[in-house]
Amino acid sequence: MNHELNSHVHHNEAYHTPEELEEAELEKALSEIWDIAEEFGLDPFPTNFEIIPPNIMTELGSYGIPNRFSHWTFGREYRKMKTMYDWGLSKIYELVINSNPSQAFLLENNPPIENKFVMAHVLGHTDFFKNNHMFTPTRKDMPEAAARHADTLRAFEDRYGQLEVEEMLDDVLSIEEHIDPYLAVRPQRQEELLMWRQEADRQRSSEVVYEDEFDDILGHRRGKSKKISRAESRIAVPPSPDRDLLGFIRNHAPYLDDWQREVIDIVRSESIYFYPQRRTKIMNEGWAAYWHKRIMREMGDRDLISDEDNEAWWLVHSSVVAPNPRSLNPYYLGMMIYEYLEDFYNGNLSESEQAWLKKEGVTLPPKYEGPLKDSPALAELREVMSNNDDQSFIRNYFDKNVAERMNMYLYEQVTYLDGSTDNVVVSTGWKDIRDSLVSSMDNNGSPLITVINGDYNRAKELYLRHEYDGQTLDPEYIEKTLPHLYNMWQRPVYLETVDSDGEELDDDLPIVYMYDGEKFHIEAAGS
Amino acid sequence: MYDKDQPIASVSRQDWSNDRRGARDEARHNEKVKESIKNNLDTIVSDGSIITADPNTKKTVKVPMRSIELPRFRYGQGKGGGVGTGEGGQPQPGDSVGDGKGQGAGDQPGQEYYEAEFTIEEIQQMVFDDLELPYIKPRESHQIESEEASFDDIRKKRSTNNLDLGRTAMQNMIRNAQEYGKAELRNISPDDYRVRSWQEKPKPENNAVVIAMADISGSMGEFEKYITRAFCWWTVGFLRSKYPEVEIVFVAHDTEAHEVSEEQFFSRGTGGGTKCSSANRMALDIVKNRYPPSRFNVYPLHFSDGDNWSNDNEECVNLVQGLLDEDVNQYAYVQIGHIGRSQLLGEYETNISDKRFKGLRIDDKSDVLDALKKVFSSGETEK
Repeated sequence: MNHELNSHVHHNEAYHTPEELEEAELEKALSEIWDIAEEFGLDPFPTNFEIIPPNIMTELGSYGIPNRFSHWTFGREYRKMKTMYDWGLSKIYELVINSNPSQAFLLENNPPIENKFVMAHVLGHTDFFKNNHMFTPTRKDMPEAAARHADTLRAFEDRYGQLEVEEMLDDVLSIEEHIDPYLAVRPQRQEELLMWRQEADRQRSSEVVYEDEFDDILGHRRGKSKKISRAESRIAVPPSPDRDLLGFIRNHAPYLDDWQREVIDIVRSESIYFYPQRRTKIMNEGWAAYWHKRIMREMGDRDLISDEDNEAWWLVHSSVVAPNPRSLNPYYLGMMIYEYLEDFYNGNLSESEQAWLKKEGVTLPPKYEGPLKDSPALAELREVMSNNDDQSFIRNYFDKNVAERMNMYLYEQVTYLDGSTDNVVVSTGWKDIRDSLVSSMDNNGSPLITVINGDYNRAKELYLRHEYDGQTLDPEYIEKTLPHLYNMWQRPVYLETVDSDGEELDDDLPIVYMYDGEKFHIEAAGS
Repeated sequence: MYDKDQPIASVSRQDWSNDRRGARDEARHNEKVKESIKNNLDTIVSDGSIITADPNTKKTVKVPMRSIELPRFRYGQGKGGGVGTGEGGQPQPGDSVGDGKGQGAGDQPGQEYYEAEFTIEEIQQMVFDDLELPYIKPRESHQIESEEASFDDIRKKRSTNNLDLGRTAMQNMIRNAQEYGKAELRNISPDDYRVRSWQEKPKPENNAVVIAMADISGSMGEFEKYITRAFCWWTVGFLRSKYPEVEIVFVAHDTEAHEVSEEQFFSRGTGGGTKCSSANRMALDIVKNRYPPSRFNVYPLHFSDGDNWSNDNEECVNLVQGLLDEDVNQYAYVQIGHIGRSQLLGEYETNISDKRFKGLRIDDKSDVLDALKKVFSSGETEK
């Protein structure tokens, strides 16, 4: 019925706007691309593409999700990206939201072939979103949730003042990455304390039975006067180091209002949503690059795009996966590893590559010569894609052959006597390169901070510890960030870390920064 | 298979023309950048490109600003370096891979700087916000509401001597449009005439005077002259903007004092020895003869490097005390220079206990803002 009506309207329309023609062309290409992707075994979420002007692309790029809440840090990002675009330094080709159905965006002034290329790329992403294990727990309704968050924060602005909400967001966003990604829903305070109490009791069950489960934590309750020594009844809050700074503060900061706790909830849930994307940059971009290349090649082989267009997408592809002498292009690295694995599983490695693997004791799969879509490598690649994050991807699959295919090296900055600087290659050893990559991905490259004690000095002071891994913190930023924590906690805040002065590891001394709302105190730990 | 009737993928457009989110948050960021400039005012206040500008200029100055960032715990800057990939062939250890910032492992994004543009007026407003004339009080002719005439009422007819051509032409076109349906300029009749007329406007008068005295003796070096200039530039701008009716008397001195014009004051060469008493004596004369404190709020302000004839110091103390006895509102002495506290400031501080005397030192360009705030702060907050 509907279909008939549509075609009826269609036939009667004598004139189509250029926009309509472009949409129709892209719709047609999308159905072809989708079919090819399915033939290759891709299994993407339903994906809706929207054609938008560049300024909206820039805006979406700087917020990460459409209709996200308002904050000046997004405005700063927006300004930066807009400037880059205006100066022709960079443009965002594509943006895709991890949701079901997925929402993707195309630039309206891109030539159609570039948008076709982008569509092929995006299906790689939405396949990844649907099938990589890191994304399984992420909420698939984030665009709606983010819009609700924005509404809530706007309502808070009306009620408590724009500045008040902005300042709260400043505080919360300054520690936004300090979450526990595996604790998407944290129990509420009472529930959490009960849990901790029961756990503590279970561990000491043979000793004493307590009458009042909440004694110290909830203050003294009337009518309960059993004599239990404080030491016995006290439980540590948190019972073990807690990396979910946002969640801990949300639950245990002594003086926060309900709306302020809700602001923390909002930021925390969005941060958890983005976490897997930060953890799979190389794998995800690499997967999309690997697939756009194959899908577009197939489009050409089937004469669905012209020769001219074939050259055009290849040019864009080359710039997307271009090597960089002083940084790692995630599209390039990811794609090269998948391509290496394809060659490995299909028995198509070069002789020298095979020789090295043999020497390492690796059994080589037999040579396969049929079309890619029926090859043994496809299933293997899907396994690799779904079961890893960037760190394990590199640890498991990066080897000498990949390093050599990419001409990789480690370099260091050197300063000469005349004060000039240069970057010089220090190693081409693949293990050095791999270890450097793997260690730079610890905790997504940001320092791990845990809550050690939420009732330090038995005065509701907050004691945090930087879990030192050989890299010291920037002291300037400690002094800038602690006040934000103080604003939320409203009692003195401590951060234990390691002195930045020591060049040698032996010189590194644990020190404690304390901010009491007015000034900083720095002392050796334990003093 | 892709099913057109039940699309699992689609292409569409929406209207985004009402979307202002990015622009709004960008504006808020810019606002915060401008707010943060207040924290950098001390360096901006003595910036050469500003204090040589015509205070009335509309031109803008570019001020390098750190972009505002939200702090977070981050790693310290390690040794620069990281992982790179060769574009053509395998670089070997020892090869240079080019200067420039890497973004490899362990690297932090560098601090972004950008230039914020301000008009001189905007910067002045930020500086002037905190400044005021101290100890100002009603004098004899308390807030005289002087009748001041201004050309701002445009009335019909009257004499054509003050014809406002623009408005007259406009009126003619309006009339033609109404009468003939065509807005064109023709047949100007007396009905169209619009003239500027006088209107009397009550205007408050603060009757205050600042006597700016500058040491131009040979010992005043480039730095001392620069600071004097910077300080006076802000003082004049501040007074003109906040107290437009305040008069400023300029006095330059070495061993002798001369009353000079504003241009001369800012461009005068230097030479000779130093007798600060000469300026103070002239100030006392000016106060007694032209601006009696019974009728004026009077603010003498003296700049010197303090390198005074030592046997002149006592005379200076007496004259400053004399000015204070005449009931000037405040006497400020600004001593500029890297050398330690020289005798004149010490003599003043030892011998004058009146809280209306303010003696301060500027040792560095960044002290200028602080000194301005001390000199032009409300009396009550001063110790």
